[in-house]
Amino acid sequence: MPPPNTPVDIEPLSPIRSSRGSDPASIPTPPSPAPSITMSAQHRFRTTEWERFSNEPMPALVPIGDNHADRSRPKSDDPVDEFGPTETAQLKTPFLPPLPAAYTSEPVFNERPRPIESDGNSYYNLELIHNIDFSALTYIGTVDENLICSICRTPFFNPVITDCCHIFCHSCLHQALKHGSSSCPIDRTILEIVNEDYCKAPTVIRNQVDALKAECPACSAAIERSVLQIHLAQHCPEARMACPGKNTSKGCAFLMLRKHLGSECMHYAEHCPDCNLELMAIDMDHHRNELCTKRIGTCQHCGAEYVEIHSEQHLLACPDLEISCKWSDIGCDFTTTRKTMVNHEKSCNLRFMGKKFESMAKESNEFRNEIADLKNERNNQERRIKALEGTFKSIRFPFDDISDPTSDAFSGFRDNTDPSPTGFDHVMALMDSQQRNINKLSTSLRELEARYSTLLFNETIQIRNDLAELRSLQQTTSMHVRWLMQFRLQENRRVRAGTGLGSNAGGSEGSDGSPMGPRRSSDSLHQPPRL
Amino acid sequence: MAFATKRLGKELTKLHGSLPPGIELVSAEGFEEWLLDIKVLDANPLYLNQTYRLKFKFSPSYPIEPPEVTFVNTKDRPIPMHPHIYSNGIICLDLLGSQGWTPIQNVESICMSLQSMLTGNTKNERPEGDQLFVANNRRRPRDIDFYYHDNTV
Ligand SMILES: [Zn+2]
Ligand SMILES: [Zn+2]
Ligand SMILES: [Zn+2]
Ligand SMILES: [Zn+2]
Ligand SMILES: [Zn+2]
Ligand SMILES: [Zn+2]
Ligand SMILES: [Zn+2]
Repeated sequence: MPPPNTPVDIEPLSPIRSSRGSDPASIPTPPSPAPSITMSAQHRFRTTEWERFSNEPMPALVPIGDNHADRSRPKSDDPVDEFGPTETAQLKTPFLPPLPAAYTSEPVFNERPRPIESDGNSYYNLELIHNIDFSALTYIGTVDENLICSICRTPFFNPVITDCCHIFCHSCLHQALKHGSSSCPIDRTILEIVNEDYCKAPTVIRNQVDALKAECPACSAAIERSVLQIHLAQHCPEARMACPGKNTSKGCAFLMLRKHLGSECMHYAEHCPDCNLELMAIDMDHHRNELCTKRIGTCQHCGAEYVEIHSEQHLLACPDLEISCKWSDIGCDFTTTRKTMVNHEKSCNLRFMGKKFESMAKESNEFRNEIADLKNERNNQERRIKALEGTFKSIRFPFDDISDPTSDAFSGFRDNTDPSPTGFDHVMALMDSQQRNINKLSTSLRELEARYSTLLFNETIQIRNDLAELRSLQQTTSMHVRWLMQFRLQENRRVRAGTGLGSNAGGSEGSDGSPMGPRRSSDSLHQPPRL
Repeated sequence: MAFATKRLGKELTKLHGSLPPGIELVSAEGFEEWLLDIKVLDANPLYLNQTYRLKFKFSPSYPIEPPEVTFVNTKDRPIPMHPHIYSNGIICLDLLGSQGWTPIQNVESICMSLQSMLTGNTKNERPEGDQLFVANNRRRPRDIDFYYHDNTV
């Protein structure tokens, strides 16, 4: 996730962004006040921005006027007039970081105004409605395999249960069934679902998935999934909200991040006192602290002047800053200014130890990494062995092959356990032989696993084919039956017509103009059965 | 594309973590086309010491729709001999058609099915009419109606 509010990393999306989005240092010409953009241009910008995220037309981004009903409907005509007072219209667009990827659409205004306050006025709700794609979230920790949908491989969202007791996300099952086959994706039970009337999964399951924690797409905090939307609407510092100016006569329609919330609307133009760049007041702090190349600071240690945004770099080199001796972690507590430290380092009592210490630290780091790698490997192997053990317990399988390598391995192991002259050698040999044993075991287990899965696959393919053949046979038979039934009906009718009201029946048949023969519903009767 | 991308992303992380024996990920650039190598694990003389390359092509509606899976012929990766595999690499396997496919299958399970399909084979032959099919076919595999008629393999 890109750190919010770092416009330097983001390529400018439009000329408007350049007033703040690009580093002024990269522009050779002196910064001049960026041309103010009229509202229609701004709207065009915002529309294209919107279309980067969704294919829908952008909902009208207008301050709530008198006309409430129109707000949610997309506006295709030029909305210049909708933007209210012209003083707002002269301002530039405030900077907002790009919408996190998990959003399905730009957050929208809450339709309902807040209840009437004590002063007798009703106020607009500044909280927005955030539409999030839950399958795009990063979940915290590992999620129980039983809570993961086998179609989308993410934790269930809006889970539904089939007649055969399989659970899927509502949208996943719907997609799968809509695509053609009306059978359960797991066991191919034919599902009869009328009018998209899916049965909700048991509450236990729903509660479990609702309690899963996911990273907030805006601020990365771990938030319970069921309250994520509330978090974004009410608490998240990095999420968008409506400007409090919306409730003033200004009717400000801009969105802003909650962390920039002040007591009033900050969407008015201001000039940077240092570089004179015109930008919105809400963006001023960020500009002055991170971007402005004309803001000069003075070092409190050496008195040097520098561009404020480079103050940290200066402190790393400032000759008058007091620093501690580079061997401080092994016991030297001498401190002095950077420029005189050179003298101390030449005579520091710990300088010989220090060098040794450095190389040792490096070595121990390498060892640590190696150990971590080995541990990982061992964990993997253990996991694999456990999984396979489980499989073998449930399946009878000729074990004659495996017994050889293992007994081999064990005899080798026993040989190596003979007490060796030194304890260290002994341990090393032990480790070695164990590693070899594990390797041997895991290769033979892998072979077995492969053979077992092959066996299973062959078995099921046979069954599946048989099933398909049966199904097609059954279809053919039922077609025959239908054909015969129709034929029979036909026959009956003809007999009745012949014996009963002969002339009448004959007349009606004639006027019908369709001498009925046995109709074939399809030609499939004459095709080879498809499996 | 979003649906397929997310699901394939999950599969990719899993494949990078662990793969069943005899299956190797060659390349997975983007979410449209992946290459995997498979080997037959038992000592079937038809496929001994041979590696085969599979090309997966995903549509935006994967996994609702099956991917298009074919063997590709490169310098040291031949097309395996099998009565259900045409010499141009097109595979006639019911689980890859819309009839046999279910969205719970994945790249890994397809590879394993193909492995087992080769393992169980004893016939050193191509499908009937292979020459004619290979010479005339201009359709994509998914548009071809195979008759999955042979249930001995
Ligand atoms: Zn089922
Ligand atoms: Zn799902
Ligand atoms: Zn948050
Ligand atoms: Zn405002
Ligand atoms: Zn400035
Ligand atoms: Zn200084
Ligand atoms: Zn010192």
